[in-house]
Amino acid sequence: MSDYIIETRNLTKQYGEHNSVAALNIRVKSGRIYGLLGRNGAGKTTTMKMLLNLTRPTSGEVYIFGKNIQGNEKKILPRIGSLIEAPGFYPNLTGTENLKIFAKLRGIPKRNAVKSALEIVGLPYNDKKLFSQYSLGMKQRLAIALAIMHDPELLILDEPINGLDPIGIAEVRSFIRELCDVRGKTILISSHILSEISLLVDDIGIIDHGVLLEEESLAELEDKNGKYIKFIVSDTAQASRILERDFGAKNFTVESNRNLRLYDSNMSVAALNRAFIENGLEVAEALTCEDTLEDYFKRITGGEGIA
Amino acid sequence: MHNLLSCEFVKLKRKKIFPFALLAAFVFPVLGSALIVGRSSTDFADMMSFAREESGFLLLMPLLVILASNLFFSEQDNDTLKNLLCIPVSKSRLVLVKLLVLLIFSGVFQIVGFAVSTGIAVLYHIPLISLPLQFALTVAIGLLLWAAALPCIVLVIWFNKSYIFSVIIVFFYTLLNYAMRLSDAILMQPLGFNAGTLMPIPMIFRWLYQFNIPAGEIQTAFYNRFSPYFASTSVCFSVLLIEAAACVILMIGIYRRREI
Repeated sequence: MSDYIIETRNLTKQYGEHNSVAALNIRVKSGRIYGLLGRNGAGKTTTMKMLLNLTRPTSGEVYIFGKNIQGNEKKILPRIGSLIEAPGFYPNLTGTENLKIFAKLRGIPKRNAVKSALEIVGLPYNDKKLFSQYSLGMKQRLAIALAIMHDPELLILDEPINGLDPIGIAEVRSFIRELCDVRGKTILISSHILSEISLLVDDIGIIDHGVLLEEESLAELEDKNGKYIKFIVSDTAQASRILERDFGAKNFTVESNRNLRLYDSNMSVAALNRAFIENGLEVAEALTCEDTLEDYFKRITGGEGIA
Repeated sequence: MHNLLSCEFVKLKRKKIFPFALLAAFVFPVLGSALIVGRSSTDFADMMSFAREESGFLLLMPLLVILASNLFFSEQDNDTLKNLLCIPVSKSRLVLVKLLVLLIFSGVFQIVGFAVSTGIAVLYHIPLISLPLQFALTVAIGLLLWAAALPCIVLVIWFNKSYIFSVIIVFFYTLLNYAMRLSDAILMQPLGFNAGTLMPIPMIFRWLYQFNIPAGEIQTAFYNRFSPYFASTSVCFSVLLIEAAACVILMIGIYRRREI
């Protein structure tokens, strides 16, 4: 029996020549919130669709609750609640009517499942408002209600805070946290909003161009976030030479012609400062800094940041 | 399957297209009765013929295709298919249940037409001759026209285009079938691999016409000329239901291959 609730093995999805997801190996532990972080188009939604068997992988396997999803859909899917892409409901029906349809098809035994799901997300029960008249935030809340209505063990939520206002975001965040902490649910959540992921998840997977670049706990990731000393000096070329010659330092980067970063925070800033000045350099600034998650994301994706 | 079917009906709530489509069941029975009632040789069978053939061939069949596009595209347009598949509801069951809704609509449409014609006949004291036979033929036509609409529904699903495209397809399909029904060259062919056997409406007509009682010289001459080419009930139902089964398998195949 696998220790992981979700495990993918070399999961790959190709559309023509384009690799949407390439040899992805993610592992989601029981009772934790796993955040799949990546830019738009990184392959997050495709991955989630493959987890839910909505899209067939080109190659690779998906194991959920220790079983291959292929051929075990009827056993596995009822134990999962999901929200993939935009909320999908019948526009001519009210929110309650929509949920009742899915409750009936799921065969939910709990009589007030629809009512309590709506209460949890803050939507009225038996309201006359049609889904077509809902705001984007209400639609998103209804989709979350659908995902949790049958009390699933695993939640797969694709960008669940899309369209929510700041108060709604905070509510959903604390509600998701509570689902995990109090009710022991395992949650896989995707987002392109780094700040959201960092506030919510236990474990993180960074995906870029369909490739999983990192997978670790948020705590480990924060530890890894490099501390560095930032110098603003009159001549970075000369400063580089001093660092190499006098301090044997190699782990530094020249950010611009006046800006230099040294990724060895154990060195004495005072000693470095003195060496620069003695060699005729002007030192305008010397600061000990720490990478933000965004800096880290930029560094490992080798490109632009994320929202 | 029962839950799935009842949910399909809930999904139709507040959709105006279905009640309007059902209202269309009044058009030909009323129109036909208005044309027939004043004549000296008023016949209940003639009234029923309007309710069955003109109403069925010209209205019911295209309506079935348009309603089918509504039923199938609604899951796609509303992005609800993913929710259903995550339950999981199998795509083949979903196709079958939607076709079942169409079959029920087809039967109800024909029965409404039958009721309207019968009501008018009662109102004008026209004898209800062979009422059970007329009812049985009406219900049978509901089933056969549902089967006749399926090839067109396959095209609609296959092309996966807009409602307008569906209307264009159904317009040509209806015209083609109806025109073939009027063509001696198509109708008067022995049973075999030909349009008169394989095209749904000509086949239905070859079966249905034998229940007519011809009146007047022209009708009698046509009846006599046409009678060698009549199709038996078993042949007509077998051909149409085999075609329907092939269409259903094709639809399921197309639907299953399509990814979200």
